[in-house]
Formats: sequence, C-alpha cells, structure tokens
Amino acid sequence: MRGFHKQINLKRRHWYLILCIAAATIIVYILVMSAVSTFHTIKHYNHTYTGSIQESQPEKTLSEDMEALYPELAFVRSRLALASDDSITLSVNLHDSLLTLEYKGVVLHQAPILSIGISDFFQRLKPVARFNLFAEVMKIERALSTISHEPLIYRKAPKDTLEAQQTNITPDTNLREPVFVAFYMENGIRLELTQNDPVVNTKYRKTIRDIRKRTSGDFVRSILLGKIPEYQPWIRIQTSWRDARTIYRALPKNGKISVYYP
Amino acid sequence: MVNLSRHVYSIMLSFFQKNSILIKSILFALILVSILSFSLILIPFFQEKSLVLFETHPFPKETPTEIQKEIDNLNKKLNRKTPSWSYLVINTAENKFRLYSGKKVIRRGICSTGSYVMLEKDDQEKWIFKTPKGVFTVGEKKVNPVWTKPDWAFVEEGLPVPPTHHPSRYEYGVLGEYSLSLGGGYLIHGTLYKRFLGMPVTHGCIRMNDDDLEAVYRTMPSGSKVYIY
Repeated sequence: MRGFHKQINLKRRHWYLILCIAAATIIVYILVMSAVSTFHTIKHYNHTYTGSIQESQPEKTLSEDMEALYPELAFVRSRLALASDDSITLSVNLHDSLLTLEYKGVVLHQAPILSIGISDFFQRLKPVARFNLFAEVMKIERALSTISHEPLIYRKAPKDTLEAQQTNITPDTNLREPVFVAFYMENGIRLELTQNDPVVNTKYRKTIRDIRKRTSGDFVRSILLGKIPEYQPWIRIQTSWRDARTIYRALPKNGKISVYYP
Repeated sequence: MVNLSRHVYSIMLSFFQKNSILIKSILFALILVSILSFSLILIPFFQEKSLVLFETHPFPKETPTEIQKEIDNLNKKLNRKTPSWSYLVINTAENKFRLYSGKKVIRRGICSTGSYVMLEKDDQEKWIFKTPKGVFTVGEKKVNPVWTKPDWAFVEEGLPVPPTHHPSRYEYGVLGEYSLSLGGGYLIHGTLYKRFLGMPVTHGCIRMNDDDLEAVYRTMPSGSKVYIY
C-alpha cells in the first residue's frame, strides 16, 4: 500500500513539474513576444515615417536635417494641414496642456488638459520618424465611447392634440453620463479622452475593460496564428466632463486630429 | 465516524485511480486557462515595460533660427484664417454662444439648439431635430419675422398637415423681433419660451433671448460666418 502511494506521489510530482514548466514557458514566451511586438512596431514606424526621406537624401544629410527639426514645427505644420480640412478638427497640445477644436483654422473651443499619460514608445522612435509622425494629420478610424455621438431621442408622431400634449418632455439637464472615449487612429495610435472627475459607473468601467481586452485579445490571437503581435502606442488625456463631452460630440466620426508631442 | 471518512477516502482514491487522466486533463486545462487570463491582464503591462530595452531619441533642445522663422510664418498663416470681422460661435453640447468682433469676444451667453428628437410619422416620413455643425453664412436678416410652419410642426402637434400656403402655416410673433437665416431653413431667432434657454429643445434653429438676439442682429451683417460645433 505504501509503495502504491509513493508511486502516485511521484507521478503527481511529475505532473506538477510539467505544469510549472508549461506555465513558465508561456509567461517567458509572452514576455519575449511583448518585447518583440514593441520592437517590431518601433521598426515599422521608423520605416514608415523615414522611408520616403531616406530614398531622396543621404543618411548624413538626413541626420543633420534632423538636428534642426523639432516638435513645434511638426505641430504647426499639422495644424495648418488641418485648417485645409472641411470639418471640425481637434488639436491636442501636450506641451501647453490644451485641447482646441478648430474649423478651418478658427478656434471654436479650448479646454485645459488636466492630466496626461504618454506611452514611452514615442521616445524610442528615431527623431525624423517622430517628427514626420506628428507633422502629419491623424485620422480617426473608429471610436469606442461611453456616450453616444448623437443623443437621439425617438418619438412616434402623436395621433391627436391630446396625445401631443402628453408627450411633451423637458430634457433632463442634470443627467451626467460619464465620458470615456478611445479614438483609434488610422496610423495605429490610440488616443484616450476621459473626464477628470471620479466615476462609479459600470458602463464606464466596462468600456475601459473592453479596450484592455481588445489589446490582449489581439495579442493572443496573433500568437496563436503565428504572427508577431501588434503594439498600440497610446496617449491618455483627461479633461473636465463638459469639455470631454463637447469635444467628442463636435468631432465628426472620421475626424482629424493633430498632436503636439513635446 | 472514522470508518465513514475512511470509506469516503477509499471511494475517492479509487475514483481518482480510475479517472486519473480525465481529472489531470481538467486540472491542466484549468491551470492553462488561469495562466492565459492572467497573461491577458499582464500583456499591456509587459509590452509597455519592454520599451525600456530600446534606446531613446530625444529631440535636440536647440532651436535654429531658420526653423523659428518657419514656425512664425506658419503661425501667421494660421492666424490669418480667423476672420477679422464679426462672427458667431455656437456650442451645441453646452447650448452656449460667443459673439466675436475683430477676434475679441464681445458677448457670450446661453442659447437653445436642436433637441436630437427623431420624430417618426410612418416608415417614410421622419425628421431629426438637430442643429447642423460646421460653418454657415448669415443670409437674409429680418425684423419681426413670420414663421412659416413646416409639415413637422403639425405632425408634432397631432394636427393634420394643411396645404402649402394655407393661412394656418403662418405664425406671427413666435420668432422674436429678429431672425438671421443660415440657409436650409435654419434660423437664429428669438423665443417665447425663455425658461428653456440653455437647453437642447429646438427643431434645429438657434434660439436666443431678446437682448442677445438684438446684439447678434446688429453686430453681424449678411455674409458673416456662424461656426456651430
């Protein structure tokens, strides 16, 4: 009987060992792939945003030119490009902590940025790539948000005047739906705009969780498909509830944004 | 009691021996799933931390004169885009307005904009009462305007829609003392319902109180720009 128990314990130990090795392998693999994904994204951005210049100019001249380029020029250039667009646009000035809604260069609305979070990714880009990235206008591909872009209220036409009087509703101006918006840009950057006020709201938390899940889900899917996972560079900004709501509702669905990266 | 626990133990042991592969597989799957879900939380964290491995390239601190000149020129170009004459800016999310003259705010206050109500008569006839966004030009300006009621005004009140030029379509005194047309049937006008100012209650037009409306009417000639966002 004791020999039988020893045998079972030995077998169990083998299983535990195998499980530990498997778990460690998975974690190490995820760690390695995380580094590979960020490296791959840095390489991709460096290639995308320096490629055209490198073809026409020698490396040395490029690096000398690079010495002269800096963020303000990139921002002014991208704002000027925004001014030629026929829609409401957003300028995110991370240097002066200012959000500005503009239409053809005319300032419509300004809001202070109360808190900023930026991925370290941008510091890892070559200066020329970073300059070109922020000198370009960024286009919103899709947005994930806790509030509706157009708060439509559906109403059936009343049958008579009596019913019409009963359906007259005054809007509730005290309703404060918390605002969390994630703009997914065409160039792969994710810009998160949130309200500064603390929030206890399930929809708000769910949206944040959805973003995290989407990032991790894409990562796991890529690994399972044998692809290099993607890394999504991000910028997180907080402003007041009013300003966050105004900005999200003013911007068209495929609106354009320029960012002043300091 | 001791016998019972021994009995249970022996049953469990025999069950484990008989189904050991199944139990181990379930255990293994459970551990794998928990590792995976744990990894899901850690992935964004790992990705961000792995950036430490790569070299940083800060922008140079110096500002060469030529670049400064270019920035100044571009900024001048941008500043020229703002009208130097009077214009009006309307915030539909907050139901507020700002009146500018020569790049300076000369008046600000509350107004009312579109309610975002979608009125549905039947499958074919629908109206969305929203204030359009973008830039508009002040067209016709009127004193003591008369409101020509569109079809939706009757549908909304539960009334039958009269013919085009029927007298019941004309209402006097409901638009205030002045109106400024923005095109497409949208107007800036006054209101009888002043308690609703600052709320999204209109059918797409912009309502203002009497004093603000007069200031806008007097400051903005035809051709002035109205920016709505």
